[in-house]
Amino acid sequence: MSTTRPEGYWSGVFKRLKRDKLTLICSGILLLMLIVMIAAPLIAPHSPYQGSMIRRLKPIGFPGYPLGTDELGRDMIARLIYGGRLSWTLGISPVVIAFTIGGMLGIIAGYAGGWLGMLIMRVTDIFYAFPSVLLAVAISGALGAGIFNAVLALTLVFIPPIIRVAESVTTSVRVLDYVESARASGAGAFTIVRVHVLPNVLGPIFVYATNLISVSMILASGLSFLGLGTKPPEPEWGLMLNTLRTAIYNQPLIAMLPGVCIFITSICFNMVSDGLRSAMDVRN
Amino acid sequence: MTLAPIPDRGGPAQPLLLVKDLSKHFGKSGSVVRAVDGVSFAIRKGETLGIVGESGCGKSTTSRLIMGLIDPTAGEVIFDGEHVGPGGLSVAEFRRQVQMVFQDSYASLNPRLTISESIGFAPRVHGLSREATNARVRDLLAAVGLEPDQFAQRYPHELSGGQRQRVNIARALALRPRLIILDEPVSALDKSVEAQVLNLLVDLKAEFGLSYLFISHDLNVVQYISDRVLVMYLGRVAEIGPVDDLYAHPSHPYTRALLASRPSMDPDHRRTTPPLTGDPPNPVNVPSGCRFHPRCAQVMPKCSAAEPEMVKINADHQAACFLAETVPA
Ligand SMILES: Nc1ncnc2c1ncn2[C@@H]1O[C@H](COP(=O)(O)OP(=O)(O)O)[C@@H](O)[C@H]1O
Ligand SMILES: [Mg+2]
Repeated sequence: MSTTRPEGYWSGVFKRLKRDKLTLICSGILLLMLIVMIAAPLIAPHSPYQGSMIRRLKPIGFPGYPLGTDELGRDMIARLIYGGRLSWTLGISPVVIAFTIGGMLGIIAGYAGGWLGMLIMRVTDIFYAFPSVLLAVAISGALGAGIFNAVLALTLVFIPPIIRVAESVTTSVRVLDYVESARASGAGAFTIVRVHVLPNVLGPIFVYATNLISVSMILASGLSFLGLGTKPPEPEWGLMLNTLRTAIYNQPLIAMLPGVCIFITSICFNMVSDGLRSAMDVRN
Repeated sequence: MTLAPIPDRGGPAQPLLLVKDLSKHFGKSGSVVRAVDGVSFAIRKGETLGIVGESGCGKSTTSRLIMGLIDPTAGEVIFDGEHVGPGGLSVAEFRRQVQMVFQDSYASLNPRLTISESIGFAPRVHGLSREATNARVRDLLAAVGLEPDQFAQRYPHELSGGQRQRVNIARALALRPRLIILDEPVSALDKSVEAQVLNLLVDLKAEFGLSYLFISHDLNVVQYISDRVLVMYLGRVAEIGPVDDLYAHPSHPYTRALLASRPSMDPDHRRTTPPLTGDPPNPVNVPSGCRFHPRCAQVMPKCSAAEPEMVKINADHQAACFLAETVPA
């Protein structure tokens, strides 16, 4: 007879994640990027702001500047690393805030139903009627340029879809027999949501939110590209893409670099999100 | 706080549960689903009342109505002489005394909680201390035939269907209820496991002094476990009576058809009455008069015109059919 404690849900998830090579590689890339960005002052060979008219648009492999220089002669490595800090902040923070607010509202709408749920969902539908890019640009444009406003605009864009997902997951959990049985045992709504609903809905909502990170980074870069996010001389991938636009014929490879960073990051976030989704499925 | 069983009040003659004219209509005007349509019955103290009927006849809706999980369109529930609801027994008090076991043993257990946490949830909600709850969980696991050391810390997906249903029974017992509503508790189990769980239910009933409302579509299971049986058809009571009397002398043509349609092992008991024919019942489009008349083998002109009253066949046996007759004692 075995009396060892059998594995819990999360240890099972980690076990499945460990077998998923692609997800592991992508998480590794993201982790590496994060470490490099945190340790930016130690790693970056030059200042991201210090330019020089005599070394403008040097090619990749230029002595002392392995990734070349930008249109103002600033070191591309330094700008990409420091730019990552801003791009990641702009990409991730709206999703985190939207996950918290949207998740809460969606769970309330899904569990309470009735007029309250109806109200939350109808307001959500109104926001949902606009394409996300248009909405982000419109809100951002109305609020004015700046990092804070860009985050606010993107947060507002992501709250409605997260509410929708949270509401539908919660609605499907609410009707399960174990929730019914918890109601039948006389537990209050708050206790039922905390013990029975949250642990079963947070996973799917979280997975959906991680999926939004790539969209968010692209939108954030887009806002900066349009001049609605960060302002020069701040390094930010989207903004760099914009200012390097003029160099597309002289130094196409350098002009592409910020785009490559955005691309790799969003692909990796998407892969990790998908891997997480399948690892969290108990049937696997 | 000890969460002791709640003592009897009305004495043995007072029904434990009285259901009066309970109705539940789903949906808005236009396509109303009359899932339960004026059902009345009593559950006596210490008895098992079985409810049989085809799928969709309103058995689960009836049990959810009793538990107060959905609001009735009409009707009332009386528990040990006290009206359940505002002005009477509070729903919270009522729910301590009545618990429920569902058909799907997996969906009935939160996949993120250990068995011990699932069983202990209700006692903790009702204020039992952690230590007392743990002790109670162990007692309950032992009572339902699961070794506490082996099962307490496991998760639902690691258990078999039969083991999970034992856990659900333990969970239903955790508040020391007086009535347990079992909605198809063995329908999803293998035949051999089914027998074990049924025997367990019989044992627990004696051990804890319980009454059961046992819902099933399986006539053999209901016959085995019930003291009295209620036959339901399209949201209404077709017939109700003591199990032996009802199975030996079914008075409603629907009961007869149901009994005739179950497979018989005995060649001497080949069916003599035709099995069920016609469209399966649809609670959106309820036939006029007697709801069974489109499928009835003994249908008469008046059956589509008027709805038959409950006829007393003998002291304890009633059927809603024009052909049912009172048998002199
Ligand atoms: N929430 C609901 N909304 C609409 N119709 C329902 C709902 N629940 C049950 N019904 C309908 O009520 C009828 C009775 O269902 P149910 O009580 O589950 O039957 P049974 O348990 O006897 O199979 C069915 O026709 C079913 O479709
Ligand atoms: Mg049912």
